[in-house]
Amino acid sequence: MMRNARLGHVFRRHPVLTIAFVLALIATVIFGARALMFAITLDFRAEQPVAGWMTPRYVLRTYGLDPAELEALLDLDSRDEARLPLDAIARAKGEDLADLLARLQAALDARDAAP
Amino acid sequence: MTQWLLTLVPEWGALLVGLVNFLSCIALPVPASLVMLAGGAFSAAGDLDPGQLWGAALAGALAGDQAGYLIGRTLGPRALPHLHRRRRTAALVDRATAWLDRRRLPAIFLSRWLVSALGPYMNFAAGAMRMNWLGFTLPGVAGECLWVSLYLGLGWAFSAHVQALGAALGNLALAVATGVVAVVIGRVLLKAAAEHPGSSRK
Repeated sequence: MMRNARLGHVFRRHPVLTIAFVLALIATVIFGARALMFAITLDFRAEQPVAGWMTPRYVLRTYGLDPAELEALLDLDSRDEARLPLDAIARAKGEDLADLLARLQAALDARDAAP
Repeated sequence: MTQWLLTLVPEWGALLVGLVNFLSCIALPVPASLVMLAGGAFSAAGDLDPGQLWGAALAGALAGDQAGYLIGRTLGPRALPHLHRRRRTAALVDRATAWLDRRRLPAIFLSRWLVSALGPYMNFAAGAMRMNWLGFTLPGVAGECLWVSLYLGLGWAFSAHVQALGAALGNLALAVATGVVAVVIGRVLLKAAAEHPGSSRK
């Protein structure tokens, strides 16, 4: 009873702070749970699909594709072009990004399927 | 938005990482941690120079901290009298100012990396209360060095999982920040309860 009376008093004296306190607690639990969920699933997560923001070197490092095969698939003109994201490479070649990504993904899937 | 931003990282490299860090230090809502992780990942792949990236990220963060401090110093004298108009708010502001000055070192150092979501507001507060400049800058530099190294390093080490790692760390940063806010407000409320025990029965 004493405790309830004191809590009520604190709330009446500092209503904004009390509400802020409760909201901060709720936010801590929600964000903490989300962080934990992402951290736990990090390991089980399926390999992320090839995306337009990736560069050829990033693709090589992440998926371990053969450099010669990747170069042939992308038909790169210069070493400078290898620094660009796939999105920019597709644009420079006048190719649809979705087609380029599909070609890369098919090569990756074929490699994974090979014994 | 995320995909678009990630596409910009290899093209703009160190410049973008520095700019995003600068903006995040003055409380603009840009995903600095994701850009830093991506920068680390692209430098691991060999697209970006890690030294340049580290230098630019640090320079952006330090410039942002100083800008935040200056904004607080300039606008503080106008905002503080407004806060002092109500007696109870004035007491809280005075207490917070005294606390921040006493705990300057851990408050500035930890709000650079561990409680990074509160960093920009700490910059404004430090400027507004006219915290000693060197006392603000030195722990700030140490903390930013740690933050930049930590995020670029994590991006380098876990380059294949940049997006998932960004989501996990973004949520963790918010959880830590709101947790710290809850503890600080909780302490103020506890003190208030202890100072006026049972006065509700008057």
